[in-house]
Amino acid sequence: MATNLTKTDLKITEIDHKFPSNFGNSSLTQLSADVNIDSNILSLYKSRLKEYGSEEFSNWTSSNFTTYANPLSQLFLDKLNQQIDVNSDIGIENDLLKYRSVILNEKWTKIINIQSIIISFNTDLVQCECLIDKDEKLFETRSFPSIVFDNIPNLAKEKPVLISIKSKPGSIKIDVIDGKNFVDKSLFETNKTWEQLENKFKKASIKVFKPKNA
Amino acid sequence: MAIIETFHQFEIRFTPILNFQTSSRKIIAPYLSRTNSINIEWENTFKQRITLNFDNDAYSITFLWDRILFQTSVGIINLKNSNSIIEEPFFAIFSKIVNLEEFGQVINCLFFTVTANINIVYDNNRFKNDFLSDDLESILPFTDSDITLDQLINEDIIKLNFGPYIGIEDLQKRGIKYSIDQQNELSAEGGILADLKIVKVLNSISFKNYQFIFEESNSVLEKIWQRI
Repeated sequence: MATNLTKTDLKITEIDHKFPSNFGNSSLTQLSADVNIDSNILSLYKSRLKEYGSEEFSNWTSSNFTTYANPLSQLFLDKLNQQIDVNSDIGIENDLLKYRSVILNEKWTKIINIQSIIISFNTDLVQCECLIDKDEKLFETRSFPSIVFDNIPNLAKEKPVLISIKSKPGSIKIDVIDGKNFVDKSLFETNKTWEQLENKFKKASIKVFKPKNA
Repeated sequence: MAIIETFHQFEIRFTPILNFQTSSRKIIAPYLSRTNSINIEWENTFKQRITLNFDNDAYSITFLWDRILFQTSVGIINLKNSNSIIEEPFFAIFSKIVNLEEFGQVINCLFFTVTANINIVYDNNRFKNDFLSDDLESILPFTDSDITLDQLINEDIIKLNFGPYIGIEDLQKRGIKYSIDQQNELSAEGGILADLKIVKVLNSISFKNYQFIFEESNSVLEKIWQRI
């Protein structure tokens, strides 16, 4: 049967960062020139790498970068290609920290991002209405330690938050993000309407079934 | 034996949005607070490509004028679950793109996954015995092999390639990305490498479609693993 699909539709879109074609034979200085990076920024990176006990980096040529098994070389190549945040000293320090062996092991088995609305809070706990399943319209009330909400300004009832839960055997991490751009509050209106209907029905049931002489 | 999903890419293709380089910024801007870095290529042209890198969670989302992509090199088993990173933020961002006034329609989607079933005792000879019934060596005494199966139903295509896994060079020579964290496991030789593409033609798409395609891909791969 004929199809409108072409070979192009089966081809995955390649998202590789720009890389100089003569990479294999370039020195570090040439490499940086090929990817159009400022020479001052390159010096900054080389001096920072030196400070972190990597004296050898100052003499690195491109052949040292050919193995992706070295996380620091991967970091350096990523930065050369990305050219983002290169002026920030904090940026490279955080990136180098990322590639220390402790952080390398931080691979999460499961990550879920739950849209939530705050329903109550006190000094110890924050209670949230969490959208567990969007299609099934399944909501759950969950409580979290209030400390994880300390980064949320103006904590209040009905405030939307995005709760990111990352887990792996033996470990769990909870990140709470201000949900103003990430939570669809209209989804929680549906739940509110249902709860109101449910309460009305319950009250009506009590009236109907209460015995006369009770 | 270890089954490692080395790479996964999910693309939604739609009719080109001519002013995407400007109209997309409002959609993408809020997500910068959640990313580690951003790549912008061909800025302010129709070819503009913006990639949000969520390094801590090992995935990235890329935007072009006619498609949005999700890429990851870590295990994908949980991506089909509710509230996974495919549902939030990938489909959440896509639903904002759909709500743009300039948005036309969805054309199709591509689900691509590369999986290595590592088994050091499973070599080329065992692959021949399990999958190649004819004596093909009379044609050519081959040292490596690869089987390609295509299925066409209506306008949807499933394309499956699988063959013996000879080590990490198998991924490197094909330019398949993998996570540095998995390098040690992937260095073992033996087993089967499978890459699977599923293209679905649809007018609209939701997370439910993704879940369905995910199950379909699992079912295809399971049939290979059951034979070894």
